[in-house]
Amino acid sequence: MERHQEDDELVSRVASLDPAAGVAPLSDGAMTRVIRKAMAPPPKSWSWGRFRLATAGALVGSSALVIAGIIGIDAAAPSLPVLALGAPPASAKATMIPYLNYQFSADASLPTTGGSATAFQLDSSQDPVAAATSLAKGFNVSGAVTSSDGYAQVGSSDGANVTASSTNGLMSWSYSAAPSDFTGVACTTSPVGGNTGPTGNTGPSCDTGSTGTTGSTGTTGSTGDTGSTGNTGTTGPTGTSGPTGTTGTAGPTGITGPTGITGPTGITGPTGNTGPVAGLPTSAQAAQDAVSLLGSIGITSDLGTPQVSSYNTEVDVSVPMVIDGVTTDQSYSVVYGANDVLESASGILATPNPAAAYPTIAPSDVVNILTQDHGFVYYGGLAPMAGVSSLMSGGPDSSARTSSLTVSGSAESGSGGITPTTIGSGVTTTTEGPPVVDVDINSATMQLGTYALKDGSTWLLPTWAVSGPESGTTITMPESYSADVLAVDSQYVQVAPGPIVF
Amino acid sequence: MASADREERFNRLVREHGDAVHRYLRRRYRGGDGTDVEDLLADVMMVVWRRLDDVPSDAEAPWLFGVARRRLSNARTRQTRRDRIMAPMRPKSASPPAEDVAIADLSLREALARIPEKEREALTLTAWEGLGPEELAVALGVSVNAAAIRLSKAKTKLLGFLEEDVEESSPPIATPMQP
Repeated sequence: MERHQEDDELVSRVASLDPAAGVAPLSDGAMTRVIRKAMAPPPKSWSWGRFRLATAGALVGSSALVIAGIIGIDAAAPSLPVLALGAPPASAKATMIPYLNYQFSADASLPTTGGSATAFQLDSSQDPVAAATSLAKGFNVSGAVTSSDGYAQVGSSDGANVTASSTNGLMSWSYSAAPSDFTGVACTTSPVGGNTGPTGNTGPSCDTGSTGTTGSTGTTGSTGDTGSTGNTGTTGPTGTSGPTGTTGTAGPTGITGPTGITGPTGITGPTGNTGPVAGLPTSAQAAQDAVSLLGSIGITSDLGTPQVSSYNTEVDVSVPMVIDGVTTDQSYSVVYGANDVLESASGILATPNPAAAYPTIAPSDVVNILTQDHGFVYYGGLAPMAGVSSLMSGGPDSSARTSSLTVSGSAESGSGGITPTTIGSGVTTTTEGPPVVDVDINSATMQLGTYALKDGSTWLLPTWAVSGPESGTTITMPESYSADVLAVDSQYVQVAPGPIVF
Repeated sequence: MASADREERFNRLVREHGDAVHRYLRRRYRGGDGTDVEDLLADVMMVVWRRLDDVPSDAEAPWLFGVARRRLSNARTRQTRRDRIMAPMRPKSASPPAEDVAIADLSLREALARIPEKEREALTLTAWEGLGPEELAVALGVSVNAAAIRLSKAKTKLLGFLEEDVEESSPPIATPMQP
């Protein structure tokens, strides 16, 4: 009962955080638009041309959109294919409010020269049905095969199933065990002391709760008072000797005292901490099992060191995909439950084909990119500085904007963000900006990050995974900033205008 | 079903449940403004229109949430890839998802963010969309038992994280959330 109440309170607490609580209902006009769009015949599909060899001249027309345009361009024309990435998302939304202003600096320990690194195209040659069918054998899943555009599933949704779906030429897969294979909810240990503890919650592998300690025996009642002595008989008259007076009647027996009150029941001890379900694998065992599983279902990629997270009801393993010793941001997820049962798994099914080795920027230059391309962090996302400029330039949505803005590059590092700003035709105002966070980038590791190219293919491109400590007035405990930055020299990267097609 | 009947039912479905599905999407779609979410809603309703005969009459709303959940997942995949393109502009440690934007209870927000997504979805569908066990099962596309287990796991983990949070000191308000 107590647990039930606690659950209800928890749900209420979460409900009170509803982020859509203040959202106005859809207008009739919006409803009509939705209905019209939904019932419209599907548009004809189209796609961009395959990856093409762009020339350096293509950079000129889209210079405003070029990633990392601040990096110096080599005088020599590039002989490598330019990586045509899709366009960036729309600029900052009018309702975004900046709440932190990041200022970056490069630690002296960072290398100041670049190098080169290989880019890989991820190739998934199988179609979803073939992939799902093949994986289903590995997971020993049987059942009907269903498929739709770019998606296939073996087994039913409410039982064990394997899915495969293709997006941007990249195949993703997942396995889910049948719910009946899942473990029960976490076992709860019984209370200490007092009445017998409740039986542990039912679950396939829950331990029975231990019996509570019996309460202490009540104190024995005190003995009743002794009854009073009977009255003495009266003396006979003088003279003739009268008959002997009768013996006085014995007094009534003393009333038995009340039974002692039973002592109070021992106070129920606090509920024990929730314990893990029985049979969860150890971290080492789960990591070993996960690697073994991936091999058994046909994952041939090199694998990095598994990262294990243990919970009371499951153990989650994440195994990174590694290419030539370089860690990628692609990883395989494997989840084990009680009794070492495999609950779910997922990942990609693709072969990384080496394309070309691209010149890379120096780790110390990453700071320039971070500084140039952003500095403000927004609720609802992060906007490039171009977006901030548009926020300040006025326009149809200007009424919804905040006056709390600081212009990039003007604030002194750590100054607290009070910045004189020139807007429009030379009118200078002072605006109070968001708090400044100073970041000292002191670590950079070469990795491979997943990027969608504009032609619809997916690549693993060299990236610098950088990090460093944060400091500032808002930082009251050690915090570390981290970001992935495309490491390919900007002259080989093009962000082409136009929609991204996935 | 006759064409006129289909249109009538579809119109009714959108009018009756469109707002709830719109809120569902608004709660979960990161970085989208109203227009983006309206597009997503139209995307969901397009599926509903095509599969109108499959919509169970006794569980219309949860079925619609199930479609919305899958379309949202696709949209998030697209957005993740799009974000990848802008990776140099996106610090890992400082882009809270949409669920966090209006959340004042930081400890609960952080605890929610630590729950695995499928379990968090079970909890938020219960708390925000008000679904009961059977409806939750329809929306998640799993059995009632499996849905109950997910919900139970979510609550257990959330409580555990909240207890951890009480024992440790809470981070300051302006601290960016870890992904």
